[in-house]
Amino acid sequence: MLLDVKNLGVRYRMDGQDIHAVNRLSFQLEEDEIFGVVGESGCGKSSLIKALLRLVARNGSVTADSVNFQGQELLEMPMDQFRKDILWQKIALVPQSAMNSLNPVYKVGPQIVEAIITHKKMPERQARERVHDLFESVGLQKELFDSYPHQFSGGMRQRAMIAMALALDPKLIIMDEPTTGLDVLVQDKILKTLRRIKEDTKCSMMIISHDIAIMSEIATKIGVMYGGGFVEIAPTHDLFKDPSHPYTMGLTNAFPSIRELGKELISIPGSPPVMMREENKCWFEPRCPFATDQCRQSFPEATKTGDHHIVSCLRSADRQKLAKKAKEKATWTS
Amino acid sequence: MPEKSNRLIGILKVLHRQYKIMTSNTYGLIGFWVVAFFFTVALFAPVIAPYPIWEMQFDAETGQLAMLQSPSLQFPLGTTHLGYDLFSQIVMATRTTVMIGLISGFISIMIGANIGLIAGYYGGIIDEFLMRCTDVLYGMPFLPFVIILISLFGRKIEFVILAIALIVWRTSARVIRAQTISIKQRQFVTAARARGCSNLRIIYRHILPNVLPLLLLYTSFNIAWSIVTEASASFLGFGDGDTISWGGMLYELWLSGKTRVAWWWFLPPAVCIVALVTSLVFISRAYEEYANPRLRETR
Repeated sequence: MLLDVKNLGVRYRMDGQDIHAVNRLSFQLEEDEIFGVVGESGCGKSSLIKALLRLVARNGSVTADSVNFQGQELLEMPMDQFRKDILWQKIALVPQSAMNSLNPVYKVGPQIVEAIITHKKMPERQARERVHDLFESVGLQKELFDSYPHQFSGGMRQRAMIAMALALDPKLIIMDEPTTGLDVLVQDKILKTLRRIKEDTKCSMMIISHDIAIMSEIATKIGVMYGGGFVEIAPTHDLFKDPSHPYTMGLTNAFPSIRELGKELISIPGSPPVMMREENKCWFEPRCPFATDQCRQSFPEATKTGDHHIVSCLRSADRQKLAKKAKEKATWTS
Repeated sequence: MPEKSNRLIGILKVLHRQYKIMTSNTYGLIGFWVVAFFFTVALFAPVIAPYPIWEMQFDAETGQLAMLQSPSLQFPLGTTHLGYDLFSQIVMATRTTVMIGLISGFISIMIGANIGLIAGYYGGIIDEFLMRCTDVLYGMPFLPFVIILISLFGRKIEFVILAIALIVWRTSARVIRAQTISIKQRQFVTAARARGCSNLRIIYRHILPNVLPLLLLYTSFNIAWSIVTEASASFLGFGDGDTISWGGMLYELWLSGKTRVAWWWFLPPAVCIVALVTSLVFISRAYEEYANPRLRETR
């Protein structure tokens, strides 16, 4: 097991009120896995990353029963040690909008070289060679080493950020919206690069996105977030074949499929909850067409419906029946 | 070895770039050459000055003490009422003034930049404290502050430099703080933090290079202000008595009571002060246009 997160919570204090961005979130990540995290805007995806990397803003607080990474408790580690030993060495981040994540006043190659040298005592020449290799492995020409970030296209900058993340052979790479803002062809190339990198380095990846189509293409396992926690985690194939949470069913409806052209897309009415307090009920209940009185009274604990399939829904036993109903538009509109 | 020569080329490139920025408009070009002229004079002052500055000179023809003579071949800028050669004095004074300007300018930008960067980056209580200190300094009247400091520590040139530096930094601190706050919100700073960069590293390796144009602009301003302050303080008699500066020359003139007669005595130092300070402001303007491209469009 690479990463084991139990009951993670992130809350932000704003104007005397607490906003619960992440609630009762648990998941496990094995080695050599690509874990896709999907969810709509405001569901807590970015807060999850920030909590894992301990980058939560000053007005935020993180609580958890355990965040265990290779046997080490991440949240209990002294910040200094965490910064030096874990960040980038073991867990690397490719930030959202990688376009702006390179310092505009430094050339791209030397920027990475300098970052390597500070983390690992190694001669500059060796670090340069390392960066040349990295450039090659993410599909950038070596000649671009001495270019400034503004001379790069969006896709190239994204590749440079991926190269930077790979520099110290991390065990886990977290990517925040790695393909957002890129055109479809570049997206596809980046995904191919990621897949090849995973084959080569055997590192695990956690990819955050709101684009479920991209996830279906690359992830080995997908977690669906709603209301600050995972409502369903399943291997990619199972998730699409056997969606067990009503939100997942709604989500798969809302994306166009190339095999069913012209079919009307069904969206989920309502909007995501604003989580001012911890409530003992299902967060999706107000938008759920299958909600019962019980859903309003108790928080649905995570239950296993398959070997690796985890769902937080009280009605998961009826999932096949519900999934059939969820395909009909009337279910969501009435 | 090739790495060493690469570094040298890098430094030369940076200098060339600075030259390009300074001379990007006509005023900047004039400013650059005037400043370069004064710096050269300052550098070679002992070689250029024909006479020792504190030595009475005698007229070559009459053999009498050369008291309050107007410019002649022997004394290009005339002499003082004690028979000192004014040309030698102004050349040596250039050296003092340029040195005080440069050192105070650099010390003040050091203080200003660091306080601005730290206050802007950390924010919160640190920011509050540092900025209130700056406000207190803003509340101090400029000249009395320098004069009190100098009279407290004595009229040594080191203390004059320090006193000036201690007051000139305030504006640069404010401006650099504001810019730092804007830059620290950018994505690449978060990215640096996610790579485990320490706070100091982020401040000095990632934010500092981005505020550099502004920093150079204020370096130039601070040098100009230091020179003005030094001239004012010296004119009021708070300069170092052992060295001579432009302000100090005017002070001597005032003491001698010959202000109305000896135009050759007050004109050169006054012109020099105005010329050097104006040139430095011209250079600042060139940097300002570089730091804030919007100024360029309004032309």
